Amino acid sequence: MSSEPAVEVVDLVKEYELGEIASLQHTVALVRWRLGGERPRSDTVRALDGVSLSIGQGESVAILGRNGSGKSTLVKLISDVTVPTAGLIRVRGRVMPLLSVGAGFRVELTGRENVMLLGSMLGLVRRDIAAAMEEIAEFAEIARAHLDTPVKRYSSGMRARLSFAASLGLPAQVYILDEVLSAADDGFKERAAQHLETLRDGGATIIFISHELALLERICQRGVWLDKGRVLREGAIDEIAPDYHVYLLELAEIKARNRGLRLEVEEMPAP
Amino acid sequence: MAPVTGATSGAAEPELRAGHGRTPLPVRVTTPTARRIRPRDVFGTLPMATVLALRDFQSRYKQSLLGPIWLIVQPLTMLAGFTIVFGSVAKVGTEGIPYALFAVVGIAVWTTFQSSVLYGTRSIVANKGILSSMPVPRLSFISGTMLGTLPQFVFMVVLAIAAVPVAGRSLGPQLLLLPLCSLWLFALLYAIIMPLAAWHTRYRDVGSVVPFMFQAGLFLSPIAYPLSQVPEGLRTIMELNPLSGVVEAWRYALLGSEPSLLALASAAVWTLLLLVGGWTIFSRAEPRFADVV
Repeated sequence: MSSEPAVEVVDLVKEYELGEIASLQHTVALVRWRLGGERPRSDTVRALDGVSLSIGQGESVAILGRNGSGKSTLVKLISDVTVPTAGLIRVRGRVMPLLSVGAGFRVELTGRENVMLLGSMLGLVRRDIAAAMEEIAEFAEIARAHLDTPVKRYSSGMRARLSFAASLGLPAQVYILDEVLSAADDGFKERAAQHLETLRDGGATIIFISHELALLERICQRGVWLDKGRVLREGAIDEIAPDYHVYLLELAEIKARNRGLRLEVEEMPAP
Repeated sequence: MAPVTGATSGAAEPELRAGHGRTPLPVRVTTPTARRIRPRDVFGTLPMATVLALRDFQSRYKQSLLGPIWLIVQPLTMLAGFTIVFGSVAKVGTEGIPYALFAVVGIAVWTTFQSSVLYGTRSIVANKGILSSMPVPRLSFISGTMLGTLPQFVFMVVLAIAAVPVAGRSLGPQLLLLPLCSLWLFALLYAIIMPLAAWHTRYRDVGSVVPFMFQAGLFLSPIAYPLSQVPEGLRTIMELNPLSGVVEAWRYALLGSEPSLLALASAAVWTLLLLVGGWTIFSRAEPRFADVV
């Protein structure tokens, strides 16, 4: 194993446009502006505001943070789905992104065809995908007859299991999971966790976003806590996760109290 | 993934297999560059485009009784319609060429143009799901649509070639120009689709305009009639239509009819201008498709 990190992120900034990109209303506003009226507002939001991070090869890292803290944006950028506004990303090896369940599935195609498609999109050759097929089907608990049935006939649970099994069953160096186990039942969750442990112990790098802290503590070594697009804290997962949990509870308590007082305090100061 | 990313991408992508750390892993570096693809990526992304084209082809004809036979029904229906209306009713002059034979060439070009521009424009938005969760090179969606029109295209070309001797005429040595004519057609299509597909991600209006363009375009291009039948002043305007030149080249290659040089020249200039412009627009928009689509 080399000492070079699998994923390096330096001063990463990502801005998104706010509001509708195009609408008749918007067009009218633009015409008004051209005719000497007020300039229509165009705002941007900073989803990531200077994140730096280094993840070693074979390391498994949990990304924690509330909704809107920038977790998904960070993994989207690492997965090369979109480009940063500023900063730099360096990734070594093949990345397997599992950013949403069943994304990219063609429901008209069979389970087998979809696994082939997924593998090909990541640059794998047919032979390698076919070799992993048996194991993927078994992991997803999908019978042979179902594997050759269009995905549109699958139950949503089956789709989710196949999507998960296919992503983790295909060879890569870096696996990225963004909140993909929340819909799974406990049985599958357990097997998924075992599979992730096997991958981790086999030397794969794992970046894991989940709101299930117990699962994160089991799979990951390190935790990175994002808040408003910045790294708030990072360290060993068994330090970060409990603190994060306490923070969430306190936040909930403050919100409940404010509601009682009919006050609207949106943000709690970060610890 | 390797081919399109990489302002400063280090290694090319070697065989990758989990667990074998022998070969150095390919490194991908992403920085906020305005443009990350290069013209040669058009060819580099062809394997991925093939995968996407096969997938589209597979899924388009699932749960269909006739499946891919529908591919040939559309141009054949068009050919029958044109032959009845323009060949028998309106009796359009075709320089002594039997009308059906004359029309089959134009229809081969037109149906390829229509289906690739229609699907190509929508190809980015249609693949929203993949786009926002997978690092698939965006160019491969465009190339994929072009490859997807190949079956229909090949069928029409074979039909046109076969129709020449059936109609009692013979193919000349200019038939050797056909590969060049095909390349030209696809270059022009690529050039037209790139900006349309890029704009479509931001403005869905493009998706509404394109089918409407076809309605007018079919009759304003010399598909059903030869340029020589168009009145003088109007003809010059029509010769400036980029599709005119390409159709003229095709008719020359297959039927040996004298092409309009003005049409050929204008189509060549159009192709170059559109390729440069289309590439500029597409390559600037492409990195942020997932943000706006």
